[in-house]
Amino acid sequence: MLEIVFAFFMGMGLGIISGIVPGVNVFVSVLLVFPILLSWEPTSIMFMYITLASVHQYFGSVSATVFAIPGTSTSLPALHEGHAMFQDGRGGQAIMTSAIGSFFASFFAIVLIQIMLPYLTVFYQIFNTHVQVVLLTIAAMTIVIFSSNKFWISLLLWITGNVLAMVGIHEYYGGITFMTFGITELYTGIDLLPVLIALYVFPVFLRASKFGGRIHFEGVSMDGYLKAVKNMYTQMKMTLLRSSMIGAVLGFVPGISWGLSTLIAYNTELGIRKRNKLYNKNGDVNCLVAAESSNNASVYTSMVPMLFAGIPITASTALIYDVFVYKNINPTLSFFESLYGITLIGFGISSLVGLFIAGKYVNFLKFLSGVDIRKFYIVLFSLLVIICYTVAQKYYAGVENLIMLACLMPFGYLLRNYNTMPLVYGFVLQDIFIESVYRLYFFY
Amino acid sequence: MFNVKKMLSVTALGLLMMISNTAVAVADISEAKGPGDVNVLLYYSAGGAYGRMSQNVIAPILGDDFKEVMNIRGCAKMAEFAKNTDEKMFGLWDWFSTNDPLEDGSKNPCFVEEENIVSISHSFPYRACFVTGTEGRSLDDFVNGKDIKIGILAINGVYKAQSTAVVQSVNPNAKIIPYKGSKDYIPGLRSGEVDYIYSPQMREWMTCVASTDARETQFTNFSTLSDSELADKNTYPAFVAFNMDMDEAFELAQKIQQSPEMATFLASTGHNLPEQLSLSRDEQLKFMEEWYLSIKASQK
Repeated sequence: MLEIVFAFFMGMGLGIISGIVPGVNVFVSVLLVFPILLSWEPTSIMFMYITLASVHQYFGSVSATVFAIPGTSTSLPALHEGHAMFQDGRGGQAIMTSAIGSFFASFFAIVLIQIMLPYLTVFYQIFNTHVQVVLLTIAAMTIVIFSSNKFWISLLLWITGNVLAMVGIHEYYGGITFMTFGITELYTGIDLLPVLIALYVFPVFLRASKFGGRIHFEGVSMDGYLKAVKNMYTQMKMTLLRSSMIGAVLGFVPGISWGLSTLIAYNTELGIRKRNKLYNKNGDVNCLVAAESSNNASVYTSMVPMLFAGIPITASTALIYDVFVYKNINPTLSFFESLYGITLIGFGISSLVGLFIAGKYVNFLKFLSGVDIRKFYIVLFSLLVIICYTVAQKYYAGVENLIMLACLMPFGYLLRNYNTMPLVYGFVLQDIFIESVYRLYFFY
Repeated sequence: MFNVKKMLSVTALGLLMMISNTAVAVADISEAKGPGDVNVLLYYSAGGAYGRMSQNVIAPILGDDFKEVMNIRGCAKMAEFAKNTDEKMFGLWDWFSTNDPLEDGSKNPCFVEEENIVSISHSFPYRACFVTGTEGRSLDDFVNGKDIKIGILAINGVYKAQSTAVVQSVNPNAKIIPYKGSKDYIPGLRSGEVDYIYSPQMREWMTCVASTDARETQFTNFSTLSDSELADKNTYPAFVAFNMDMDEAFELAQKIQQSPEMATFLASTGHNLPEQLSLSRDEQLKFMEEWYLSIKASQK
């Protein structure tokens, strides 16, 4: 019992830290406590993991909305809409609606898993390379088509992201070297963090700073939450169901589950809203809910293949799987069923406590109201530079991350009037996209 | 106007972020530090099999000699660091792939000299496996099946060449599908897009019928099905050492291999101890060179 309580607090703590600090995702958090997990019971391990994943989502959403700090690349769509709402003085609404949507989608995914338990093997078909290539192509096309830039600009940005991601040595393709210029530091490629900061966050800050002004942030309240629930029930039922379903199903896609499902759910909603001329350029709440809901639903479904068939499809579930194997536990259907109860309890408690603490944190941030927006972004950017260095310094790569950041920032400045999300997604998905297409070639 | 409450709040928030960030930066496996002078080198992801072996096996066995796990991103940077430092470095190295020339024929930037290779660290065998209960799947089908698809581990050219050589010699009609890692080919097998995998990993739901490791007597050995020189060879990562006496490093390698920590690690990964344990360092290096040359010959 004591172990489970400890697991809960550890999951909470790690969830808060990983939600706030960019570059520290769920995988890194699990890695931090890996040696401790080796001595725990499976129920405690799962309790910690569920709590961590759940709390991470709530705090990540706050960071993305208020500070425009992307916890991971999967939070980009939420950041794009949420931070725009924050700039528009609707930050509280963005946070509360996201939280309710996330809770609903997580619950939806857990119930769906329970209902589908006897038929889960059907989802194995999604592990197929052909399906992956189709989904990745859809994701690439929709982000280029629905982005707020002109089509050819988005296409160029997407291609640029791909080119940046190709820098390095590619052992899988027989040791091909691309744009390394003989620089040792470039052999392993460019890290995501400088790309995110220089080419996505920096232009966002520049755009917002252009007009100046002061921050208006009202925080969250019980009334606000109730209003959000009512509003979502009357106006967002389809958005919620659609994005939760997309997240729950695409959560099974190996390697890219969270990122891909978030992007496709977001782009689907974006397309629908634009077609119906309902899209709000100053931050669209439906698109925000779509991104957050699918992200949360996929977090839960991505655990399923690992828990009942020993097939980890994300980096963090691979770590949890390694712990189980180390303890001579072979995940099977009955093993999964034995953990289902604890998953449900973990989800319930961590969601409620996570929501409460995140709410307190959000209201603490009300002091930002009235702060000069330019000063706000200068402080944030300085913080991001420090984080860019310290996170990479774990691998003795802090200085090279800073150099890369400095090299990319002029381009971020030039791109300040464009939505650079196609570039970042081109960068993030390039590896798995090319790899899947390359593998597909061998089937024919 | 100067607002004290806002200043304090900003400071508190900034400090919270900085402390969280610093805590994460110094945590991880590099947190563990010992009183000794031997660093454990690690250029892989800390969460992978090599990371766990470095942290859970090599570091504890070093005991009082352990200094810290140095996790440097990428083998090229690690190689450069190890060659230029005065610090003692010991750890795992995928020497056969990192010594392989690049596609344009140039020297691999991760290359390590033979003088730095201590011995074989462990070995991982390849097994032919299929989803238990799938109709028509058997050893006979693996060998004689027409148009069957076999997924192989192809992290890089060396892995790909080794697996391709054996699979093609066993069944020239099979279609070989190269996967980058287990996160891809295990789901691939489960989905049915490949009929078999030829890989080091096994799962409860798989039936494995043949192995490259002759010590795994529960399986048919591939050498009975193929005339390839590689049919009874596993893959052999190495221990490397920099700024250390090689006799001392070889002794350390043997101590690691005989430890209960190593036994636990091997049991959890499906890897084995090398069958060349009783050989001297020179004999092991000779074996490794011949094995590598066999792979290169198979590519021609």
